[in-house]
Amino acid sequence: MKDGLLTLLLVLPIVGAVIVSTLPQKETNLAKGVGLGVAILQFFASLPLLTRFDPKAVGYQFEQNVPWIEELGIHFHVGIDGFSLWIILLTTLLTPLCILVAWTTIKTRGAEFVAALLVLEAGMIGSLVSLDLIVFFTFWELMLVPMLLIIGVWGSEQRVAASVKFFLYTMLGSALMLAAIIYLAVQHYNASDGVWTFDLIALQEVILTPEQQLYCFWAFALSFAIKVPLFPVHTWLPDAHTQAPTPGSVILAGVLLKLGSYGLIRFAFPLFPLAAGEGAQVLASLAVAGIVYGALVAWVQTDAKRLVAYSSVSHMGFIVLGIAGFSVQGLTGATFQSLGHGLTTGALFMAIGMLYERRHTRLLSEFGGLAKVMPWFTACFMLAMLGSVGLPGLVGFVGEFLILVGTYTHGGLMLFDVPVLLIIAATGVVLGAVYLLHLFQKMMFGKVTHDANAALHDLTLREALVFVPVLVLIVGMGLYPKPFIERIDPTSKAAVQSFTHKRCVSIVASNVGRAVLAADVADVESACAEPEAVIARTYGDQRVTTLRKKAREAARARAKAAAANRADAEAQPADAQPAEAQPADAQPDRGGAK
Amino acid sequence: MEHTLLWIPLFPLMGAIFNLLFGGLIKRWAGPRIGKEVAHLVAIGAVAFSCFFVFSLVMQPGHGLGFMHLLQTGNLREIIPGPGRSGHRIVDQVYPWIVSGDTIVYFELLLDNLSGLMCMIITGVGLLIHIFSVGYMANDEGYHRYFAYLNLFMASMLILVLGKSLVLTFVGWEGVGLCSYLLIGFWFTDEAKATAGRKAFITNRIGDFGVILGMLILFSVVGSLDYDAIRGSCASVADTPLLADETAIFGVSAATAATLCLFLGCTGKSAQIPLYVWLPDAMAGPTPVSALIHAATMVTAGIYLCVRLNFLFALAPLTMAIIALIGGVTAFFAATIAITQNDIKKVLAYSTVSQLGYMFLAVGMGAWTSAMFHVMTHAFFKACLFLGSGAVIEACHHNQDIRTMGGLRKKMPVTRITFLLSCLAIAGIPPLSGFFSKDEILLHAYVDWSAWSPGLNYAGYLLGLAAALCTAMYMFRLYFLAFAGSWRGDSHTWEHHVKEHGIMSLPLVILAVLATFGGFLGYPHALPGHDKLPHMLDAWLEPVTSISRAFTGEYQLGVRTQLDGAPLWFADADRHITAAAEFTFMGVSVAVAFVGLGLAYALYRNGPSSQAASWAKRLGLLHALSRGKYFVDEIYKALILGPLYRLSQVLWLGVDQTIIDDLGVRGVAGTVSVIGNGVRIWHNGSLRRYLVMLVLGATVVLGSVYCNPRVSQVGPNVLNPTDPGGLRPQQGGVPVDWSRWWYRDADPPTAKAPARSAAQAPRPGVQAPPVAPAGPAARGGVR
Amino acid sequence: MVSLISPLILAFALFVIGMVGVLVRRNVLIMLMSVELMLNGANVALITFSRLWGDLDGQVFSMFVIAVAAAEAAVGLAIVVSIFRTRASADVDQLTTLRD
Repeated sequence: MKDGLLTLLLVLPIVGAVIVSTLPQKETNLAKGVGLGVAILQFFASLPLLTRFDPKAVGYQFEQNVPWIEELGIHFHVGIDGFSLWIILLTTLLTPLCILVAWTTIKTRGAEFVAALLVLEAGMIGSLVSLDLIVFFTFWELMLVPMLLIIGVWGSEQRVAASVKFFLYTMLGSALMLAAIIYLAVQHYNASDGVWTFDLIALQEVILTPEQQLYCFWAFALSFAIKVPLFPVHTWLPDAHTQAPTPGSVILAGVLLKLGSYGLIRFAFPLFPLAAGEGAQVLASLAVAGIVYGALVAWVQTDAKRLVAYSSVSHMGFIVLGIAGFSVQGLTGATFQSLGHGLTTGALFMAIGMLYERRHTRLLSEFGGLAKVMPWFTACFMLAMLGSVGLPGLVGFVGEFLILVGTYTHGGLMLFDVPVLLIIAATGVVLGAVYLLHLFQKMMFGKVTHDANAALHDLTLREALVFVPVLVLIVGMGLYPKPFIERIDPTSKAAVQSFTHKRCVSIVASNVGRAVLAADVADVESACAEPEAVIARTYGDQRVTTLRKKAREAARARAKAAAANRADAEAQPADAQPAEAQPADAQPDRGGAK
Repeated sequence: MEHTLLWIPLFPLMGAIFNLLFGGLIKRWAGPRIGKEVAHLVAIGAVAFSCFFVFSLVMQPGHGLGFMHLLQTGNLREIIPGPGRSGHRIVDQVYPWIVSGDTIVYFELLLDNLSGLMCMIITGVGLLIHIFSVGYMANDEGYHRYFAYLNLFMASMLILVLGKSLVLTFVGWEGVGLCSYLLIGFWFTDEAKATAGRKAFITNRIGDFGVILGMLILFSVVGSLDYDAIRGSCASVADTPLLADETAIFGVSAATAATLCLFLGCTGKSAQIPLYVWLPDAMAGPTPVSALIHAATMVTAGIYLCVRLNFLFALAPLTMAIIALIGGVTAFFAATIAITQNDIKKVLAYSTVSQLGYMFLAVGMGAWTSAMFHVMTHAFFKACLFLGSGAVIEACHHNQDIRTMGGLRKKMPVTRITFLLSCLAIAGIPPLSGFFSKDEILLHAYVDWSAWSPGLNYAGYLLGLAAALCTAMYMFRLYFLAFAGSWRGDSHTWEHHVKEHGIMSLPLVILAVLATFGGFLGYPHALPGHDKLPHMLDAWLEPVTSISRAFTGEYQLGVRTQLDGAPLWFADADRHITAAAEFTFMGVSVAVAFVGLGLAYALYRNGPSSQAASWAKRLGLLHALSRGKYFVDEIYKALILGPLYRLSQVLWLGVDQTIIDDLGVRGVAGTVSVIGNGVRIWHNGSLRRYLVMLVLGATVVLGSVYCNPRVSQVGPNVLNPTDPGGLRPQQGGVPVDWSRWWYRDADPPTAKAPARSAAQAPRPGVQAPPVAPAGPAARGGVR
Repeated sequence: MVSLISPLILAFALFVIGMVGVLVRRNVLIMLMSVELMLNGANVALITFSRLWGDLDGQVFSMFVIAVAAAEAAVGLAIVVSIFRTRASADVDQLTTLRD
């Protein structure tokens, strides 16, 4: 199917950026206006994605596959499915809003800012649509530059340090990912007798050995974990958020972080299912730790933006947890929650940005009693906050609910001790209320203690215009999530199915000792007729702790017995002792010798 | 009729949205007076509509839920379809809400006898309180905001009870929590009130944490959160063995685990130990809010949930025992605190906690109907008490300290009489409503026994009796201090403020009537005239609770009645409680109530007496504990909140800033920059030194290539000393004769070519020289 | 008798003289001339080996080198003139701007 729509979505912002940057320097408003026009055009151009998207179809839609570097099999291959559809739409929605936000917040070099934002949009959409790893990597890196500029040029006082931190963190992951991409392509080359390709669909057919999968998976996962950001590699985020200008924060929280979780779903897990199955526990543990950790740290922040940034760490933990469980509901929930988090956190950042514009401070102690002064602003802030808290009926709940349900009921194939993980994760529900209500009370309630706050004006028309679409979505997606979920769900189903199958194939092929194509594995059809059973047999039923422990003990006992038998077999020719007492005696000796 | 039930919560919701969006604008355009008129007309109209809807649906003769039929015949049996007696019910499937994978959650409402009863209480009491608020909030700035929140609360509460699945109930559950937060912190400019709201929300969230886990467990076992599906699984436990399997989750059955988690939610929402601490603080909100949310409706949501899931709770003996114990202890514990409080609303708040404890005692004993009965009567008398206290507070110029009141009976007769009636009702004096419901609970506490721990019921009974004593005492202490004696406040207030508002009296009267006669809906079997006036609530709720009674003894059940066992003193041969026994129980509880009443009369009939002070002194520590509310808040703060906050500080400053950032990230960056600084010496800008480095570097690189036998064919073989090395281009294995080469045209070296020797054979692992063998030899004919 | 080694020795000598000149002298102009010397040393070596292999590639390459050397001389002299104009000196030891 030849369809140029996605290409159009990539070209349009770039063209817009070029036009904007060639406009006369002084005409900042003209530049912003043109940028806004391009972004709105882009939004409307992206709507056919929604109307023409077939919710029931499995596989990629709006596909386009054009050779780029044929010698290496690199194609400009783009296409979308349920995972990327909504995030693309979120991107095209948030970008015009960001330009609206930037209207007054960005005072210097307005044209360059808008151009950077448009290039960033192209980069994000490109990363979301590419189905070729090299194309993906190109766009992935392309995103970095405008984001670096947005933080580094238009940020607050510590902007350079923050942008460098952001850049280095991300580059660390990217470098490893590039190495893994090339390694994977080489393995495909070897396994397929000399066919170069970087196409995602083709590379999914390569079954790496367990060890190869391990390294490649973690190279990918680290890159995406940094982007998400997962718990121990999250420290770039608070700095980046605090220093970035408001539109930068909105885009960063709204879309950029989601590319991390999207990457996990799209690349890291399906490409290396065996390692993913074993690494999921680590990811989930870190995610759960991040949920609690982010929430607790957010609680003690004094800077509003930092607080929301840490809340992102907490919320993104939920998303990674949903992915790590790799269940249908978990994936759907994670994607849905990506949208929800993008909207709610985006709205929170917008709100804090509006206050910053008025007061030039983000310290909680500088505010208080704003509910009296700015009632409409408070109402908008509250709705966004409640959405973030996960109040049922608003967007946050649906995603969290799906993630928890999916992980609890179907996470057993990926994770150990699911109930324990979920109990800890669910405390995030309590802690989320703690820090967000703390934020809300400090800013909105109480008496107006600072004179500067008494004269603040409420929302302007432009600001209201920015809030309305986001808030409508926050409520609408919470009350009627069906149109969203029904476009994600079939993709999740297919993803889980192919993931489980490939995981099973990897298990079957793990004794080959080198990378092979899935089609070349012997007896795939019969061996993986029931992939769940094979996986459960291999890893033991992880759903219940005790059962898991029993399985482990049984496996250990079997290994011991096998070792003892081997010892017998070796010992027997040497001396003709009866073998009855042998195993019990031989065992401690071997241990001692080692 | 499509979407009949949806209108019930939708009306208040629309009212809320209208007032939120347009209330302020109308106020600005049309002036404050018209603004207020519009605000409360819309709000009250919305509630009145849904109230009308509920009552018409419940009472509609013919279809509906058969309320009229019940009134006429005293039972529902004839009109209930089917052998399973699932009851006459109205289901309204609005739309599929969350559908993903095998998770299917419909936005589906259910009106059956239980939710019908709750809806009637909610909309009925809610309507009265809306009307009361018109007077109480008359001079408030945020008038439209207040009514919007109140309407929002009504909508959430109705969704809570009407929801057909646990998820939808949870929507309402959190929604009422939000409204509670908003209304407690309604006067948000007062930091303490805002904090009280936050405390309520967060404490409730701790409970919600339990509800979420409970939902997860139930979903994983049953595969759905629809009440009917859970009911079906419980009815056929054999098909879902995990429900009753004692090793399913952490060593307990799934039913026990789920119900324990859900009960944690109930302790939050219904203010039981250990999560009751928010309710006394919640009195910071406007008094009608306390009446509606924190007495009559929202706090009973926990009991509603337990009764709704009675079939599930009945399968969990451990949970039932815990519920009964916590209920009993809370009832007594909170009652002892209430005795010494001086804030009129605090007394009522602890009284509410105590009465909720009664309800949970009933739930824990499996007396579902009695629990709902008490929910109902409590809604009447406690709402009346709160509204009465609101009238008093309004009259006393927002002073809530009962020590400075007194003698209000002279100026507020209506309030006084309604308050007195409600006090009698809550104290359990016959024939007022509280007597019937409380007596029924105590009876069940004695007669039924817990399967988990057989002696537990007696403990529950004794705790209940002790609480009844305290209840009578603190209620009448409150009554005497406020209404009896003479005015102890300042005379200005007495002259100018203490009076009754017309509009506020109407709800008081209606509620007092209900509090007085409401008990006859559950007229006991033993009393005369039972054949004319049956226990209607029992019949009404039978379709809902029948299933948990129908469970056979095959599984460990939560509660069985002692009547099943050997004949006991209170049972006759037919295993029915004898009238004499029932009279005995009534006698005991009435006597206890009168003792409490008498104590209060003796100590407080003319205001605070010296006897009361001397008793307080004599009780010393006990009195101090009660006055200080057992210092639970302080303990929580010191043991949980403080350490958690400090932990967060440590995590942020220690882990985030120090370990990850300083040691990790900046550590790596620092190492690089230290190395960079060291190497900087070489980078001194002197061109000549760069050139020297260049030459040295080139020498090293070329030298190493030259000496590396794997790369170079020309250098000395450092790996093999026996190899002479040197420049020896091997043309087909023949070394070039360097001395003669220049003259090759004159003297061709053909004769000199020696045979290729073994020593000159290419070394293994070394590539053949990259020179084309056809080169000079072919062209020049060197050899 | 001229053996193969003789032109190589010449090439080496030219190269080393040039190199020493580049390394030791401070005047940019002389350094530039020394570089030319090194290039010519390389040229001699190229031609020698070209003769050794009987292959014309080396000679062709040396023509390239001569052309590049000419270009390099032109550009280099221009730079030197420019430096001399701005700094009134052609001493490399004073050209340390790159350090910072």
